[in-house]
Amino acid sequence: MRASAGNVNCPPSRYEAEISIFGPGIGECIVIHLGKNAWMVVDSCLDRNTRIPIALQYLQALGVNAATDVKLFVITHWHDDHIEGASAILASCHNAKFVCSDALRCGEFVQFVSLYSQRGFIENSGVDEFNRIFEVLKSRRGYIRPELLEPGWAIADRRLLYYTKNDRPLNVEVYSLSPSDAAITLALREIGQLLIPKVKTPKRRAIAQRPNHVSVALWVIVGDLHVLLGSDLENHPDNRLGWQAVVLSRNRPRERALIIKVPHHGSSNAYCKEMWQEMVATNPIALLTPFASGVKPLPTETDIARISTHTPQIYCTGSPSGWRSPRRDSAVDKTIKEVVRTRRLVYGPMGHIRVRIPIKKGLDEPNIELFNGAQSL
Amino acid sequence: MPLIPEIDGSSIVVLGSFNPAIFHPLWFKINQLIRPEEADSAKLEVTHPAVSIFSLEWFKLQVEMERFVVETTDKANFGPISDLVLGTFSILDHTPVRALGMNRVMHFKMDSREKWHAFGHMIAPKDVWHGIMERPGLQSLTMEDPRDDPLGFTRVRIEPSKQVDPGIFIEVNNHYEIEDNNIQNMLNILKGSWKEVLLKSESIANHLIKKVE
Amino acid sequence: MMRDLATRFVAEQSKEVSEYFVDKDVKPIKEENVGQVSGNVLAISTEAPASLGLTAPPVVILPGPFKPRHRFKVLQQFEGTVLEISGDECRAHIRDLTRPGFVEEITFSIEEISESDRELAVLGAVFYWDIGYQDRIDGQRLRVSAIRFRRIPMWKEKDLVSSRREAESLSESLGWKR
Repeated sequence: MRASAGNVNCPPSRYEAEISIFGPGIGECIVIHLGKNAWMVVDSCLDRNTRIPIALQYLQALGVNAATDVKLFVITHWHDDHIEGASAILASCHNAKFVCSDALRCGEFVQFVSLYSQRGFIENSGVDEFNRIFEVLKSRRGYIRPELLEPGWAIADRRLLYYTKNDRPLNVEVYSLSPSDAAITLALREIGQLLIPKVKTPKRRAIAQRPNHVSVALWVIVGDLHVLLGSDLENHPDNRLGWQAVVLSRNRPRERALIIKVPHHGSSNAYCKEMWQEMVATNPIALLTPFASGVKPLPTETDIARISTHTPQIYCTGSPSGWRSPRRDSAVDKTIKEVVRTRRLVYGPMGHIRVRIPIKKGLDEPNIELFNGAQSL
Repeated sequence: MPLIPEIDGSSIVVLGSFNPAIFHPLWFKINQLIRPEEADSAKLEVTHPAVSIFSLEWFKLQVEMERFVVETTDKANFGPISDLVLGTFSILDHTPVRALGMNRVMHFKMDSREKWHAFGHMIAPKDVWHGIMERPGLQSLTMEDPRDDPLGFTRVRIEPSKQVDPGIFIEVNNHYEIEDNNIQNMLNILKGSWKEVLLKSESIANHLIKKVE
Repeated sequence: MMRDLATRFVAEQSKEVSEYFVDKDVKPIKEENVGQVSGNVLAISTEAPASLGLTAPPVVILPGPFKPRHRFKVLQQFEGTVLEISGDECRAHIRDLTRPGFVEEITFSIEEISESDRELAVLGAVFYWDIGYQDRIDGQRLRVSAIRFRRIPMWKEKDLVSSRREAESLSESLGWKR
């Protein structure tokens, strides 16, 4: 199967599933066509030129009415790179159920957001965005259907969306695979201990801690197509947490995913051999976003080699090694070179991988398109 | 390309009820709002029950019983003076405050005296003065744009520059009334609007100067 | 007598302060004494200032304008966030404030940080990084890189108390609770 680049603004047909993944270096967003012009969005990042959430920008370019046609909007966790622009998506998608991790359903998390966004004196993009999400949720009363007013909560083995063949020509189901009960218990404890600051400590930017116990991994079914979206879920020595908990669950979908959004940018911390062996088809289409920050940007060469033992079809929205810094005034560049030891740009072009599969009568051959710097690894 | 002023300063003014005696470099040092070395090398200009004035390399502070002012002439310190005010009034959080001013002052050098005159003619046409004045010239022009929410105004003052020749002086005063004399409201406005106000002031100045570019 | 103080600092500064302190017989502050940046103040009216009936000491000679010893011509500004301090090295994200849209990850020696700022350099701390030319009072021009950590006061008990109260009310209204 070869990847190509067609017309990015051409919408999918009614019986064509689409998985589009966007990633500019830090951040990711997934837009999925569930058939018959029903859409879902997972996470959010901004087009750095227009400052518009890439999901809204893309849907508009396709001629999709986000207000009516987006049925589900999932935030997999609160970290900056998955949430920028989420409030604008929520405000625009009047017909969408908003879902986030059940591990965030606690007063301490709301207090954390309130503290850092309103009393912190420092801009915190993730926390400020969540504060705006709260504002939108508050203001939606009056124009949103009652069943959509309250957030939905993602927890292991919960079905978030379900259309039967009677509702539409294809069955559509979306499940959350995580967080597990044990992960929620751990996260609730950590939110109180790690996120709420202590009195008489300095105000700083809220930096997300790893590993990530609250992240929502998803399983999407459209007709015969199964898709595993791994979010940033990582492994844990305790098999009641992380990927082991997902694999060991007796209630998870038993089919195998043809398409996998590789968890946590392909990192070794999120690699679970059992997940690949038991939940993913042979030679699946593996999609990744890079993470251009950190001592070692992800995916590393080793990560790519590891994934390639499972499939030769690996696509990434951008260059894993980041991009070269822009040129500035010569005196500035000279000074920067004298001061810094290492330097790289962490945001590049908004790479876009699009997979479309006709699904009316079973599964047809997928068509993979790469836009704006997305590449086959 | 935005025009770059020859001289570029900003100030934050808070109106309320203050005790000038508190505002000594040592107080700022103890509260870790400035570096210890800065406090030790501060230039104390006036220490008086009714007014306190001192300066560091990067800002000058003047406090009277009803007014608190911090100013800088260095663009690199626009952020730090806002931090200083946020920090000060987070600590002195019972201070009754009634108004906040976020101000920018710019002196632009004009390419030529002709352009300088052209600017003056553009901003204050002289036709109406002919017949009653021999050689009318602009000394000062102030325009005000009121604001409803939050209550206040933006005031722009334009004059020939006395620092740069031939130059235009533009001052933008962004005034906010503070609801309920509540200091948290003032801090929220400062935190939320300082950067925006600075950018808006710059764009006002650019908009005017570019009319004759 | 209530005076309507303005929140603009520049031109009215001298007039109003002079009303506070300058005795009727003392000359008003001259134009060139007003701030360097604001040196556009017109000559203060030669009318005698109104007496405010203060019993403070008769005269305070006001200082001259704010004149830093050195002028700084900014070429580039960044805002940085510390991601990690490891040994003598700091890893940070820097956001370009001069050409917005670029974010870079850098590492640099903590020697680049002023000694009295080093204790502030912890995970999540925010700093300004300015690059430009400093024109010293002796005429010497230097190319300068200046890192300054933001000094923001500590979290207070009342921050936690008020945010907890707000969180309870918000959780209730949003249905954001177990």
